Amino acid sequence: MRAWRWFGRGRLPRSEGPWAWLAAGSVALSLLMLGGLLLLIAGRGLGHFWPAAVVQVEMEDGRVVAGRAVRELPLERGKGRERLYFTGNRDLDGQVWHWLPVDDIAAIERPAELVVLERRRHGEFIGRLIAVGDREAVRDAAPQQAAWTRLQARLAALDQLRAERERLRREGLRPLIRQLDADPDDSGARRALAEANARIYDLQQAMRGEVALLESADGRRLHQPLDEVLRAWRPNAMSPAHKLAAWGGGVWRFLAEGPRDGNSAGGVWPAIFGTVLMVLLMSLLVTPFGVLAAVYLNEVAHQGRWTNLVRIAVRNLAGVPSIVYGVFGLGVFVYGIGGSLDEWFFSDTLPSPTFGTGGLLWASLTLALLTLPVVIVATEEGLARIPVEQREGALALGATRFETLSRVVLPMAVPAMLTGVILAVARAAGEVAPLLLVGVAKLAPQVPVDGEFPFLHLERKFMHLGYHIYDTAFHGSDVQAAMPLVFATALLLVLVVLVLNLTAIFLRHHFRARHGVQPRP
Amino acid sequence: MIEPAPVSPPSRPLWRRQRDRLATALITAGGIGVIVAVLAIGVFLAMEVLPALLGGALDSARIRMSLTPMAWGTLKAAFWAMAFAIPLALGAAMHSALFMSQRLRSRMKPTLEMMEALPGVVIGFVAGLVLAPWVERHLAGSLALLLVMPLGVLLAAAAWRRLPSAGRRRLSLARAGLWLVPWLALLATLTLVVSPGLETRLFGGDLRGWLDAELDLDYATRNAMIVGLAMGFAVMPSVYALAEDALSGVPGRLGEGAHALGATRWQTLWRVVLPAAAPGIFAAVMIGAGRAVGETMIVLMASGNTALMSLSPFEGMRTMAAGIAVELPEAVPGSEAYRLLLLAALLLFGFTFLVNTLAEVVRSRLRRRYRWLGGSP
Amino acid sequence: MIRFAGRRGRRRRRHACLAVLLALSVAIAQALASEPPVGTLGVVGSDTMAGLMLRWGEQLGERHPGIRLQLQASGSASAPPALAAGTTRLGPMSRPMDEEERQAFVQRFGYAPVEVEVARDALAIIVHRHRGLESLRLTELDAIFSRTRRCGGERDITRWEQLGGAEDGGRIALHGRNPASGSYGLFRQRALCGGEYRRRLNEHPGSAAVVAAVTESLQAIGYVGLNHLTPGVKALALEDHEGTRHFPDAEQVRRGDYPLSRALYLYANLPPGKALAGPERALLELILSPQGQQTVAELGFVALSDTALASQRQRLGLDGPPP
Repeated sequence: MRAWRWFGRGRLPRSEGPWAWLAAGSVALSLLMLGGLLLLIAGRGLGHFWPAAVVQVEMEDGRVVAGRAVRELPLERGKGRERLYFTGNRDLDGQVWHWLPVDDIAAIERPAELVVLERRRHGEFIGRLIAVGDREAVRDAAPQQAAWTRLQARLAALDQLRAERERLRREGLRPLIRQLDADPDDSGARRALAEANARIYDLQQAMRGEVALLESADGRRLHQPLDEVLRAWRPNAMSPAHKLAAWGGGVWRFLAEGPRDGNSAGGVWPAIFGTVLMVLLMSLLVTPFGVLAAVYLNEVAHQGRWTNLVRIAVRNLAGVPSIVYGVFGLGVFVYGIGGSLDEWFFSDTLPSPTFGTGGLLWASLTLALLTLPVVIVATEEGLARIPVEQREGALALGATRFETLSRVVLPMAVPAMLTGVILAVARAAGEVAPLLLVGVAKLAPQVPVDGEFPFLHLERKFMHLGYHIYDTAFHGSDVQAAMPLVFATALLLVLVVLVLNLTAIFLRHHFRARHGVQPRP
Repeated sequence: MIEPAPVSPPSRPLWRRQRDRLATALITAGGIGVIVAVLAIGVFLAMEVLPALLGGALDSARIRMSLTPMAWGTLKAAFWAMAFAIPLALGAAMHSALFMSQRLRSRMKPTLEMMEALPGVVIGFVAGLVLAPWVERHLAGSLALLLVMPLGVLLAAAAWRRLPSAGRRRLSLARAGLWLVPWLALLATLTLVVSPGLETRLFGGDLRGWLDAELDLDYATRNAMIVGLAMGFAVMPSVYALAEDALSGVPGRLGEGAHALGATRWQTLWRVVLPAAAPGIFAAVMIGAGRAVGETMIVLMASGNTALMSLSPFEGMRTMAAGIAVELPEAVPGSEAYRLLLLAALLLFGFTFLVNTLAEVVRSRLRRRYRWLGGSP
Repeated sequence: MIRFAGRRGRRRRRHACLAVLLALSVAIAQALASEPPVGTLGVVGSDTMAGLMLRWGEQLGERHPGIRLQLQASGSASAPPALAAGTTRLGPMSRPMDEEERQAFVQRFGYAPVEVEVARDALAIIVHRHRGLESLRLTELDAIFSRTRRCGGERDITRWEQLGGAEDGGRIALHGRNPASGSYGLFRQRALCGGEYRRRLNEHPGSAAVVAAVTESLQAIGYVGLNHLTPGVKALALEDHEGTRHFPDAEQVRRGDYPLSRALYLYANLPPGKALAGPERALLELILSPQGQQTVAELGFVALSDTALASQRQRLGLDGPPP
């Protein structure tokens, strides 16, 4: 009390003092870091798809390279700076990067004729286009004027051939192979297969016909088969509108295509698909069970010490590290249940496991377990907010307990359940640690859903956005090359999780505004 | 209903009653089943590990050799994370609970809760592959930032006092959380621009070499400071949210009384609100520590996984969660390595469960106290 | 600084021409001459070789649209049991089968699995690109990474000054892999003479992380597989006990002179006296063809020598007509 008298005499001015300002500063610092992180991810992630200018760098010693500047670092001990260029041309140089000391650069130009080719093998090519045509015709051709337009026309035609081949494979070949798998002695199918094969060979032959004669910045020439070229552009000759269109196309391909080159190029479609599928399965599992447990705890169980204890325990499980759930999933689901399933139903393929290894089902189950507490807590909160009068009214009108529950209480708690499920989904979408143990794959060429019976393959491994980040950043073949894609994937994951969370926050807010009742103690 | 309900045939209520009984039984069975399944985690871990532990299948020397560095690393990582998160989270909680306007607070809380939702793998990636090399290159600047940030805030406060009253009202303390952001960003940029010159003058241009030569400190690229920063960033929002709840839940009349006696808002906070909410804040810190102990991806990607046992913030460590994540998929079920990792998981489980239970008990006591303090007289 | 990439590039170009021609002729000949091989190839084994197997699978699909490769890459250790149980006929492994694994197979089938060397690889010792150091003696390497110094180093090496070149001193930061990885074991066995790693070792969960760490720090040294090398780091030559320098370039690795080189294998279930048939034959034909070996080089591993290729093709009966 002495202190209060002290203040009361007004010995201190009515100013808040340094600590209050420091408290305000910590809010500002948190916001600054959050904003910085989001900006970094968004900038690096989205910037990657922009067709950046390609420069031709001439060094003092006469070397010439063409490429995009990626980063610049000071040299150790203050000896100037060095710049990293992405130069492509892995087939010519054996590497795609050049570290160049900035002081030794004689000239930097931006010739408009520099082309960038995205290829299926060897990554990108950066240099000049000399001629396009048959292998023999372009052997040592003089530079063609119309090479660029010709290249684009040929690439468009090749795209069609490729689509045609894919169609042949899908419609002509796969059914025959399935038929032959079932009955290897079916000679009719064998003949049909040989014919289909021949058609595909013809197509591939037609695609292989043409080459582009390319020249690197330092004058080495290269015959590039056109069927290996995916796209071509001339970034220095593009207008901003063109670039914007190319940027949009890049973003779309990132979302819609599969990864290439050991995950360091291409898109993340299988990872998006896997994440969504896993989360869907998980919410199918977690919603009924979570609601069941919450209803039991809140409506059916005798509200006593014991129930309270269980409630606290369930709540605490939300704080148990996710990796522990992963260990449980590995030990119980994968090795325990999965191992037994294999012994009973898939003994013919043992020892290579079917369900006894990580897979879609086990991952979904583990994450469902991990997010159960979230759903239970949210639903319980919703149930507790429903005024007791509602229940009493229903009971007084002659409804049984079950009818009260199913017609009155549960419908009112739907927004709370939804909130819980969305929060669970958001948590599950961003969680990676348990997946390391129970079933993601670095590269799953087969999506867990396809046209083969039973269509949804619960035992298969799948790709996941979060794991894709970890894997590409730590296990890829070239981190520097994969970095922009990692940022883009991170941005995608953050966006998904944030949107889900915002929805949950909005729902909860909406719901609280409707029933302003205190939760049960 | 106006007319009395017609008497239904006797079979109907019976059917209804039976259905009710059946449904209740089903819900009970299902509910108990789910809860048992959730609680089975602890049982499973204990069953896998304890027999081997008690039966002597696990050599105690071996346990000590492989688990001690991991346990040490886990606690070290959590310690540095909390050293970073506690001041930030509590400061932010105090500011938003007592100084902010209601409107701003209702915006600020969800924003900071967003931070909690950021996936660990994203934070870990940025910390390990972007932040760690950057800090290594800008060591002097980064360390200077730790000093400059609080000093900058105080500088802003001092400058604020000299403002004309119109300016003071516009840049009020209630909104300081917002208008300090550009100021701090400016300061950070300035610091990074100036620090290389200072480094050259004070430490011969190589702070890392100076630390090595003068203080015998080793600086590893991926170290406890980076992990602490990243994990503190990840843990801070949950500590903030819980602490803020505790602070803003303190019945209003306590604070009003102090105000009426002439205390400033900070004095009210420090002498009245904070003591009343102390158990809640303790619970928030405990829950945050539980998080930090179990966080996997951040440590895995940013710690370097060094089996060192040191306190230095500039050296790496290995934690139990990261060890489990990397080694368990390769361990043969039933082998010694497998059981050791399961033991680590059991330790993690036990520790977080205890810490959370403690926090939960404290929190429920606190709620009861608030109701008593703020309830009807 | 020695660059072996250029040499590799030239070889690649030569291979490229050969490969295209050969691929075409083989494909056409097969399409016309015999019934196309059809079926699903189940392959179980190494994850180091996953990228390689996938690429081969892709090419196989182009040559023989009727064949599909199903890859389960969960580590080298998963191949022998699957082979022994007969669930797969092909198992890629990044290390040779040990005696126990071989015996399990022999017990079941009565003959040993056929070992096919499909590519070569090595662990390169990497430092920052500006570190003025070109080679290390094997004893020095051990004294840097190990606290037991089993290879005979006289004293621990913890600072760059101890390796000469006073200009860029400082403590050595060690980067390596986690114990579960094959590289960890190989390095420990070959470079540390089976000794213990220093506690200070940063155990990264992936090779790319090792390269990233060494790229960013002048004080760092680490070891990674050849396919992870980038221009941001410099691979060191190793001096053996006679004082001969071995650089991890394609020639030295192919001959096995470089001390940390190893082979990548594909194990096949093939009864003695029989030639390969069907999809398995098609796959091995591809792998042991110039096109398949070009893929090896493209992914950063080292292709086999022509003599090794020829002898293995002959051993497997790939040069004769299909049965």
